[in-house]
Parts: sequence; C-alpha cells; structure tokens
Amino acid sequence: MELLCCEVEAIKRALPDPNLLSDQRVLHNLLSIEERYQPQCSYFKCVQKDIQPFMRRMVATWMLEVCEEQKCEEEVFPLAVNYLDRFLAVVPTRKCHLQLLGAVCMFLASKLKETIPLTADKLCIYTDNSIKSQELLEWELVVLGRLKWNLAAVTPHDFIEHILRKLPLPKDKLLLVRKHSQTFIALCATDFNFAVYPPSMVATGSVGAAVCGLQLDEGVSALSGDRLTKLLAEVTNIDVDCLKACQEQIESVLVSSLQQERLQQPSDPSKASDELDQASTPTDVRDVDL
Amino acid sequence: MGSSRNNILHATVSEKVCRNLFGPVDHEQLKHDCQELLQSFHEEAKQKWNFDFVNEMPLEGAYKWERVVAQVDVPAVCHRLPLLHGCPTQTCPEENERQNNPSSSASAAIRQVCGSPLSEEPSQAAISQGSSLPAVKSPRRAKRKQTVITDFYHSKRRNVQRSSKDRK
Repeated sequence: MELLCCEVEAIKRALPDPNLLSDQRVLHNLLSIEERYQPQCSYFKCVQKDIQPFMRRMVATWMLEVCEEQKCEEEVFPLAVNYLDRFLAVVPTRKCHLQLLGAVCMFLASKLKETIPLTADKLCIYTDNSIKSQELLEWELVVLGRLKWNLAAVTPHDFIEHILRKLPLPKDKLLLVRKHSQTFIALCATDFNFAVYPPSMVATGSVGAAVCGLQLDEGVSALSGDRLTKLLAEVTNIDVDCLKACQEQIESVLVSSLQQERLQQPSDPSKASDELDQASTPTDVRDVDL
Repeated sequence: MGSSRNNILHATVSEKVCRNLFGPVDHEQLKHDCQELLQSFHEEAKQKWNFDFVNEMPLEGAYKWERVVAQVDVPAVCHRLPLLHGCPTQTCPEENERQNNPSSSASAAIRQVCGSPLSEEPSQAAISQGSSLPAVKSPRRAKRKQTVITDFYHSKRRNVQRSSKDRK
C-alpha cells in the first residue's frame, strides 16, 4: 500500500476588495489615524540608557531574517518593528532584554496578521535558546499592556495598494513595483530614522523609489522624475519637498546597505546571503541608479 | 516527546539566523522587570478606575462601583483563569462550584472594567484568597474572575450617569 501525504500548507488569503481600495474614505481614515501609532519620541535620547541605535538595527535585522525565513506575511515585520519602537519609546529597557522584546513583537504581529502564526518555541530557537518560551509569554503581557492592546497599527503596507492604484503603471510591471516597494519598506523598518516618519510618507517614498529604480518612465512620461513625485505627493497629501527628501533617504539607505553587504561578503558569505532576499530586488535597481 | 518536537522545529530553522545578539540573558532580572512592569499596570489601572484589581475591591474616587446581579449564567470558559503557569485542576473545582451555584457567585459579582491584562500572579492570589475565606462576610471576595463584554456596558453606563450627576 502506498502512503500519500496530502498535507498542504494552504494559506487562505482574502481577495483584494475593490470597495475598500477604490473608496477615498479608506485612505483618508488611514491618513488621519496613522499618527496615533507612531513612537512618541526619538527614544535613544530621552528614554533609553542602555540601548544604542546600532542595537536597534541589529535586532531589527535579525527580526527581518526570521520573518523572511519563516515566510511571514509582508506586514508582519514592519508591524513588529512598530511595536518594538512604541514599547522602547516608553519603557527603559536593558540591552540584554532587547532580543526577547524583538521576539515578543514578532510573536504578536504574526498572531495579528497570519493564519498560521509563529510559535513561541520557534522564536526561542531563533534566539539561540537564550530565552524561554515562558518568558516570551510573560513579556507578551507586558508589551500588550504598554501598547494598551493597540495592535492594529497603521503601517506603510496599508498604503501601498492605494498608491499603486493612482499611478498609470503598465499592468505587467505592477507586481514588480509592489515587490520592490515592499522591499524598500522592510529596509526602512530596519533604520530608526524612518520610525519617526508617518507610514504614509515611507510608503509613498518607497513606491517612488521603486518606480524610479525600475526606470518605468521610459514608457510612461507621467512616471518621470518630478511629475511622479508630484503625483505621489497628491495621493497621500504630502509636501513635495518632504517626499523628495524621504525618497532620496530611502535610496541612500539602500546604497549603504548594499555596500555593507558587499563588505561582509568576502569574510562571511553565509551572512550576505541572509539578506539576499531583501537585496536581490534592489540590486538591479542600484545598477540602473548609479 | 518534547525533544522530538524540538528537533522537528529545529529542522525548519537555519542556524545562521539562530543567534543570541546581546550575550547572556539575566533570567532573574527579566522576571523581576516583568513583575515590576505588570505591577505598574495594576497601579495605573487602580488610579484610573479607583478600583483595586488585584484584590478586586472598589476604592474611593470618581467612579462609583456597585455590585450587580448577573442575569445570565456565565460559562466556565469565560471565567478568568490564571493564564500562565496555571494549573487547571486547581481552578476547575472552584469554577465548577461557581457554575453550580450561579446565584451566590452572581450576586457577588462585581462588575469590573479594565482594559489592562491582569497577570497570573494577582489572579492566583485572588483565587487563593477566595478559597481560603469561603465564608467571608463581604461577598465581594467570592466574585467572578472574568470580565465579560456586558460588564463593560454596565460600567460604561454607570460612569456616564455618575459623571452627569457630578456635574450637577
């Protein structure tokens, strides 16, 4: 008798709802509530004594790697980083507890967004078993309490579809632009400078960077340089100069992260391939850019 | 069994991502910080609602807390159980007792409203308090442990009445 395994990891996703995406009120609501979910201050100066900006980058990079390896939904990582920043903005935290905090944030974000969420056991393994799942569960309560159970934060991802719909993109490029935009958003989440920007700005800048990087203006003149920026700024109601600055900042973060990766490559090839997923898309972007 | 499960889990994660970023974790400190933060939540909730959620006692303040009779029998699953390290066998008899005798528990129910989670420790303390003092005169001691949606409605309504009275 032959044994047949029919187990399939079938993840059910809702279809995009045109009623939600084409209704201007949805975008307006997102824009009006997004501020509520931003960290209140640059916490390195006023709250944290033990935690330095580079540590946040370390923990965020690790979180991205875990989310990528576990094939989490795209929103999970930026959402988890949002929890992390909001918690750190109010609770002075010890350096040695930072990774636990990162794990807790992924645990919560994954539960909120995924049909099959990350398990506590798995997350503990990713910390090289430096924390126990019991501790993860206890701190889950602590983080929830501090975030006042406000978990449905607005992230840049919430704006992507709304923005893309307003652009005259060639149909066959839509998937690619979306993928690149998501990659830029993840990249921004690893950098604290973007944590104080409204999510709509990060989203708009990321789409701008993606469209520019792909040089889509060759076919569609409305997608070229200043016209694109103006169009994007109108969609999310952002000042054109702010948007321009944000997009440039995103592009420079990309360049520096690629350089960093290149530096690490000879000494530690496995390390570099970590971020291959993240970097694979923008690599060609950079090639056209520079 | 636990170890075999762990092995399966290990197989799905790559070693290069498994890393300890900031050195050894001080587990004692972690526990201490956790308790301290949870304690501060209780303190905040206590100030906000003038209600001692740990001992489940109303305090002096802006809100006036009243005991109300529960109209419906609340299923056992809705009772507040210790979330962590909870031993179900310990709590179950008490929960059953309450279910079997809904009038006594219901009449003693204090409507509570609180968005913040109560840690396992205070609730365990509350339970042990309840069981060690079964015949306490104050019926507040033997109350339901779980906040239900309807609790929120009741308290909400009373708050409004109260505040409008205050204004007069």
